[in-house]
Amino acid sequence: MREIFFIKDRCVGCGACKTACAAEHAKNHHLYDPLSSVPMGKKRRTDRYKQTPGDEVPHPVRCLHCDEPSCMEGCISGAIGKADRVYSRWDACVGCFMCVMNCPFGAVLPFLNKAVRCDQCLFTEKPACVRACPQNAIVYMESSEFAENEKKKRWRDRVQKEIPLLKAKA
Amino acid sequence: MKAYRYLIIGNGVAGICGAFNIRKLDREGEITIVTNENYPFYSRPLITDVMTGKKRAGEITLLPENEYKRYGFTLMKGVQVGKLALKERSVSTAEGRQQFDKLFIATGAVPKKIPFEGEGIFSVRTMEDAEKIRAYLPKVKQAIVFGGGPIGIKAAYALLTAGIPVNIIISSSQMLSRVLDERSSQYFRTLFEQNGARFFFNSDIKEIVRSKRGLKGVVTDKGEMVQGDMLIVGKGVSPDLDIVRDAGLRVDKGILVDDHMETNHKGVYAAGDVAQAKVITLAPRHSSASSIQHPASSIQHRASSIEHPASSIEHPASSIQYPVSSDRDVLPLWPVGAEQGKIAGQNMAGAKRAYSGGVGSNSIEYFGLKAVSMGITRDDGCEAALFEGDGVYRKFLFNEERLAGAVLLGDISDAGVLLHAIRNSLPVRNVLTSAVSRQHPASSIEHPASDSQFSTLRSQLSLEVLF
Ligand SMILES: Cc1cc2nc3c(=O)[nH]c(=O)nc-3n(C[C@H](O)[C@H](O)[C@H](O)COP(=O)(O)OP(=O)(O)OC[C@H]3O[C@@H](n4cnc5c(N)ncnc54)[C@H](O)[C@@H]3O)c2cc1C
Ligand code: SF4
Ligand code: SF4
Repeated sequence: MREIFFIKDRCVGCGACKTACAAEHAKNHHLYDPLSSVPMGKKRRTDRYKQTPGDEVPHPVRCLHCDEPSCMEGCISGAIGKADRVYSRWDACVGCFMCVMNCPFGAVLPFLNKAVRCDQCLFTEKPACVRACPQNAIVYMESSEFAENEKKKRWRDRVQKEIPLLKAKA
Repeated sequence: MKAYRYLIIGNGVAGICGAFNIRKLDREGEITIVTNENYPFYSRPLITDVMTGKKRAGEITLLPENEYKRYGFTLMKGVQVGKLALKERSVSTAEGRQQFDKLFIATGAVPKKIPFEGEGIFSVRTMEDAEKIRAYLPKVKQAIVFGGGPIGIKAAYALLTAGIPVNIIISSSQMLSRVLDERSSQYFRTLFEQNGARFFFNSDIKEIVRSKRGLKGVVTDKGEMVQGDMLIVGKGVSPDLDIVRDAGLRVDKGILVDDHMETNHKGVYAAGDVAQAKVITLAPRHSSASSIQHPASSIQHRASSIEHPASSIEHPASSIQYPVSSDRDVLPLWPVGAEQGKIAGQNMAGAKRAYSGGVGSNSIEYFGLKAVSMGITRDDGCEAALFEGDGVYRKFLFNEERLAGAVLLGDISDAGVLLHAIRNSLPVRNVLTSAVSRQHPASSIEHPASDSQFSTLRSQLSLEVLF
């Protein structure tokens, strides 16, 4: 299963991911819809990609598809299921927001009277946030691949730090 | 190896979660589920929708009867369990004896009784109750709800949305007093009153008035006459301890269980509304009923642990085996039941998992206004950070550096993160206080929620029609 990964030190906090997410989940994939359907200027959360304040850069949060999802345990209507990914069924959800209360990562968002979460943009090749990010701070890959990249990156960082040291020694 | 025989009494969320988790670890064992109700597993909190006819019974069923076989569960529907004979490892049921190797008691709770009964007086706990009310509803022009707790208010809300005006009699001075603080309950009170509810606070029922046509109303202890053709009682629940009375299990408020959800009898487990299990309360201790759950707290409350040496962690004898019951409590909540059931099920199937402890938390939504509360909600003596404005109310209560409780209204995002912080006693105070002060530096509690706040709120709510 491919997953969305966020590389924090690349993020500049532009919020393009959020906007792209809102547009992707609007009826005709156009940003006009989510912007016009609510009194302007109100803080809105149609987007399934959320940024938590408090960090120096906004930090997108998405569902981790836990092994034992506490959102699923709390759901009183059986709307949340787990198969490869954790999903919630829009039509079965009764809007009790037990899942919002139970997810320790704040990954489920209340939206009007339904709970929404990142669905990794089903039926598209790449999630919208990944496509939108100008900094490549959000990537979509297998977790093994990501771990491999991270290892390489860390090795590269170390080498880059060590080379001047080595040169200085020599 | 011979297949284990698991017996589960109770077909609620705790029982079913237990069954599924046993099945995950033990593919062979025989799992029998006994219930005295006549329905397969359904969502108890949603029965208020069945009550008003908004949903049919089938729509809130979470595990249809033919699916039980798929997981190898045997369902014994409509079978009353009589006595437990734990020494002989059997229980007597209306359909004969049932032998077991491991027993799981998840009998839930029963509504608290009031000294009145008869036609037109109902409680809401089971699907049967809901169906009874639904059959009675065509006769009802106005209803009375007795009790301002989550169940009473939920029933009142269901009736209001079905177009029946409701008179709500509450014995305390605010609605949802165990869930919300006074300020946040005001918001809901306004919404309820605008939608046809009338409240009678600080009142109790003294007398039932009947006419030839049935119930006419009740008289409160203040002498007020409250009109209504039907009385719904939602005065809270108490654990259903009928079958364990003389079984030799340790019982306090509910069945006492250890961190593995096991009772004092080996191989007998309990969970859900019936169990009295570990809870996490971070309320600052100034009362004598003190107990230490977290090692860190004994450092921070050095003073209090000197006063109460018996309860400090240096005395494992008093806390490890059967800890003082004050840090065990009954939490009659759905997610708590699910988690406890999961832990019990896995331990029954041979795993060793400890329950980290529950936190009382509730999520409610009435007339589109959402609220979540968790931990302690009343600030007797703790420090609080508060934000109010734009139809949003957020209150955080702290114990030293840790979060002890929160009330969120209007904007409930991140509720889960806060609950996680409470459960793990994380030092989040600075983060939260600075977030609050950034949001709205000049917030004050004095001014009441103005009409404009409610109108912005409602303009948001009217959007629901769009979807
Ligand atoms: C109207 C209503 C609204 C609620 N809303 C919420 C909410 O919003 N949020 C929340 O967190 N919680 C809510 N709750 C509480 C929640 O429903 C319970 O906490 C949960 O259902 C408890 O599950 P349980 O498995 O412990 O017990 P139960 O679901 O009560 O199951 C008990 C089972 O035991 C069986 N049983 C009992 N005695 C016997 C016997 N002698 N022989 C055979 N079988 C027996 C019963 O048939 C039943 O199947 C609500 C409850 C009600 C009634
Ligand atoms: S919503 Fe939260 S609890 Fe549920 S699977 Fe995703 S990260 Fe886990
Ligand atoms: S809000 Fe919907 S998905 Fe979340 S717990 Fe309630 S019914 Fe389930």
